[in-house]
Amino acid sequence: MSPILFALLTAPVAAQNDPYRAELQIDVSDYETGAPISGAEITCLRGDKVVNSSTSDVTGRLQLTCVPGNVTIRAIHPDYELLSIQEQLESGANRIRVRLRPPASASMTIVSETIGDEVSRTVVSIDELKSVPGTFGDPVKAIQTLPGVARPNIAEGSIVVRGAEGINTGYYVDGMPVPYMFHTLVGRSVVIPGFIDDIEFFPGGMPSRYGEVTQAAVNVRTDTEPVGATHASLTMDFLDGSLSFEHRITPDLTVRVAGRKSWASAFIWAGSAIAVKRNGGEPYQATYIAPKYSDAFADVRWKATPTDMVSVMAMYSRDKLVYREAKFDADGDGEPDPYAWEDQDLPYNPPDWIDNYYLRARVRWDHDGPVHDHSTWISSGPEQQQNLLGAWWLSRQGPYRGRVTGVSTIVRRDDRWALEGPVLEKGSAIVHGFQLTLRPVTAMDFQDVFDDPTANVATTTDDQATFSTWVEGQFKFGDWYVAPGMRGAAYAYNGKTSLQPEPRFTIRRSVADNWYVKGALGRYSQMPPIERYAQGIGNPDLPIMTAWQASIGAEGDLPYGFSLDSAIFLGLMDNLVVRDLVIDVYNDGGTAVSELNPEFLDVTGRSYGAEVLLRMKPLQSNWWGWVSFTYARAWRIDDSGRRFPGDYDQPLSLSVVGAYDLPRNWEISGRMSATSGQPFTPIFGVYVPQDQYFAELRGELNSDRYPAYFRLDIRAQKTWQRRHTDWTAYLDVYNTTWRQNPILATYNYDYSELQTLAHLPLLPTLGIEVSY
Amino acid sequence: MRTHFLFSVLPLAGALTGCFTGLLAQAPSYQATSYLVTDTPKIVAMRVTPPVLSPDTPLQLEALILAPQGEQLTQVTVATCGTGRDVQTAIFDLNCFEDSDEYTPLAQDSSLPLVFEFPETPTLQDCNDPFYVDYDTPDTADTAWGKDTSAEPTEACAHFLPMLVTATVGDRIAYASDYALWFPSGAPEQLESLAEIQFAINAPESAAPGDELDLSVIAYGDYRDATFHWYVDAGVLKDTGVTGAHQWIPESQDNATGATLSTNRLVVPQDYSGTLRIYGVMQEGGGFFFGGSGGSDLEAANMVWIQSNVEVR
Repeated sequence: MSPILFALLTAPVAAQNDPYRAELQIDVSDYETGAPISGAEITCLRGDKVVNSSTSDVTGRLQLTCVPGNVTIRAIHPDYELLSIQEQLESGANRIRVRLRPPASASMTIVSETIGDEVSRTVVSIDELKSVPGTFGDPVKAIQTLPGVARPNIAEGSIVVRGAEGINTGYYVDGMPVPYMFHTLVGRSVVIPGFIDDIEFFPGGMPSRYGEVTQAAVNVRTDTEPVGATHASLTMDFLDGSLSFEHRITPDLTVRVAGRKSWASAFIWAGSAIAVKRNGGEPYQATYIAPKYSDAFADVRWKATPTDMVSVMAMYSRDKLVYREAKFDADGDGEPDPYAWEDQDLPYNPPDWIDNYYLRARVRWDHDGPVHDHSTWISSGPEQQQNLLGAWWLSRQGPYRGRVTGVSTIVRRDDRWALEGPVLEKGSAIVHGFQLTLRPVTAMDFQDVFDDPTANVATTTDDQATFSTWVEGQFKFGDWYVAPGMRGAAYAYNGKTSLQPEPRFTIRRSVADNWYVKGALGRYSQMPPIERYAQGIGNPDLPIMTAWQASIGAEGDLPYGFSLDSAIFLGLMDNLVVRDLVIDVYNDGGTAVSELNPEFLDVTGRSYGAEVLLRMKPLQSNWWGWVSFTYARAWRIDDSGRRFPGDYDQPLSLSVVGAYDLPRNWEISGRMSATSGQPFTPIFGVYVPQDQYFAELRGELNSDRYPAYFRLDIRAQKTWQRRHTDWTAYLDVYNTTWRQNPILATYNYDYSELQTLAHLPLLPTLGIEVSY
Repeated sequence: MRTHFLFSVLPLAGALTGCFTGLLAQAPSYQATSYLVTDTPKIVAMRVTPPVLSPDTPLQLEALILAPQGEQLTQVTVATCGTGRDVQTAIFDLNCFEDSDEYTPLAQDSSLPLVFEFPETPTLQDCNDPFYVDYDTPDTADTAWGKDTSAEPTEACAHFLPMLVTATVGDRIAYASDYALWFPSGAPEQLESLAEIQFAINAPESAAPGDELDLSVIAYGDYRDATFHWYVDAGVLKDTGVTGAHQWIPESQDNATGATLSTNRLVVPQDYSGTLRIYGVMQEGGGFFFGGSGGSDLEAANMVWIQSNVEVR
């Protein structure tokens, strides 16, 4: 088994003239902390013959001359496990980053790498994920190719895991909770890819330090790699442009700044206006829907002492889906008439169907002592979610025709005490911590204003507060790793209080050479979002969601560079919040009328399944890939005993990703995704003979499915090396088979056939990357 | 300093919005083109007698269910919803049938017609918006809801509620619904049921594949504003599945009411043999899409139909 998590070969940094020499610049760092490692002995071998060796300096860096072609890079450090990897070196300059792990930790060099101290954590290599076609270059979105992750509606981009709901996945940036991770419709994550070091993904069985979410956690980390000298990057594509800059002011002081702004709406407006103009209309008669978003990120890190780091981070995200309706010149004055709503004093801007934002500022102190580590931080900032769409395709997220605003303040501390003795081995520890979250929020229900602009906005305010504390032992001895833990969470919301005990237990044992069995059992709890329980928008009776999770599995290395990770899982969820539509008959001015309204139900959830990840990275070969297969079921049972599939019940899911390095610096890669169709509630056509039309009658909740989903994406890439510049051109083709996987679907006239209204067609993306 | 520059070009700028097909592109042409009996059973005509719903008399439901030859109706039910209030209730969709508190079963049997009583409904306490009822009965069977003019209409309070009919044929279910006023305190006036009129169809008893058959239905009375629907097992209706009145035969000594005639032509398929069923249906007005009384049909379904068989050999 490879003792380190990964090493990756980045693009050559400069070209040299000698075709028989490969100049290596190697950066050695600690996998978990990202701290540079000095004194690591790095050896380059050709076969069994040592070509050259050197030792990393205090910055973790070393220069080494080797030979082009297939070589073995070996890293030795007394405090870390041995590393030995195969690499294909180019003539000229090469740059390698090596990340070492402490000894006795179980790990695998796979794209979703399991780490010894958490049974179900996977850490995703960004560089490999960026090669996955069809993600529009977003590595976070590529998590959707991993086992246990359901394929969400393309407009949502959520990470829906192991039969839970979308709201049961928590999103974090460097450990800080954020309200949302993906931009509406586009699905691009809010973190600018250039700053992402890796992604922690917990599909379940989260350790005690994670909580207030019942299923999964996605932690995008930007702080595990040390900031080098000065780097800048500019990224542009048809959706947006971003600029990022990082600079080491002094060896102990670094700064990073990044921003992104979308311009897809400008293209869409221009295309719509041209189309209208060509049909004889005026540009202001164009009607279109467009995403508009922006992101910003900045942090300053100061290493105050050799063991203490102080950092200040700020993060901002704005996400809109805008509907621009056509204007007309009814009065013939040559100017477009204003919209009718422009004269009304509405509490929202009608074109902003989706309008979300958040700002976070965080101050953090990290202490890294020989025995005791801790991380202490406080973050605060405003946030908003607005959804005017109601039950349309985005309704599974955010409020229903309403808006939620608030300010979230979090204080958190994590402590880790290293343990080592006659029984316990290095890597053992006691971890504990607490988190306090205060969130005054306001929910506004616009439903009545839709019908009557003068109506009052039903407004609910609440002061949400959560306090969690946890302690967990992480014991390594012999072939065993055992981690019992206990977390307690106290919730206060909607006039209620609730105390939730959350025992956690994980275990792993080495059973053979490079093979492990593992298991996890734990209880989790989560407060329902205010948009689910607010008066008017939601159901005020919703209690705290809870879940028991259990999983067992095995992982290990197979011959020829293959590796396998597998698990079976079970989830028992209570008070899970799902949305249904219910008839509401109410008195309207003396007449009882009916209306179909959303209703958030607290239901029981049952999920179970099996997932397998086969990672293929043969030694001495020029291809890699993985196969991810999941069988899972997600059932919901309401108070009346009605049993129905969850919104993301997709029994079968298969993803195959592969890449092949061709001669002359060509690389091709492909991705195939096939999943069961997503459940939906069918509608039957009921003929009204007297009036000769078909009325609607809803069937059982989620009792029908969309057609099976299939998508094939391919990518081809060519790199040229010049004196000081590397050029890379690529073609990324999304949905090469042009399959009409529905985004929106409706029925034909008599509701006998489901017809696709909208789908994403074949999308080719041509790109050029220049680095110097 | 190292700078990365990434520039991407997407040739299809409009692709972000995806591909859209026409919404409801088929409507409403189906009324004229969907005249063939298919494997899926359909309820294409209904009649509730009497058509003005009240507790005064038992109600009788009849329906024309189209299904493949040989398939039998095994169960039929009728239900309504929203009857439990003492205030006027107006329900314009079928969602209330999902709510067991709102659902009121009326009758269930294995065959038609279904006979049922007006459901128990609280007396309306507050009549916020009485309907002004002015039937011109019985001769022309015209309706004039909302007409508050010279005829001194009757004011009456009623619910506006749906009725849902579910018919099981083989292992398939066909649904139909009807919206009407329900008068808990009795019908202010009553309408003539079309079940009372004479309605006949003219079609040959036999034909050969490929023949073009002349069809006609005749309704005794002045139904020149009526709409006629046609359904056949197979073939092409040259005048589509919806026709109007083609001929008015005035009253005479032999025909006291006069008669209204509608015609059609059926081309028998070349590969057809056996019994070919032909159905003619008449309703007053034109329904929602054909410019007739449409949404003003506030009485219960009041249609008449007839069947003729042609042996194709």
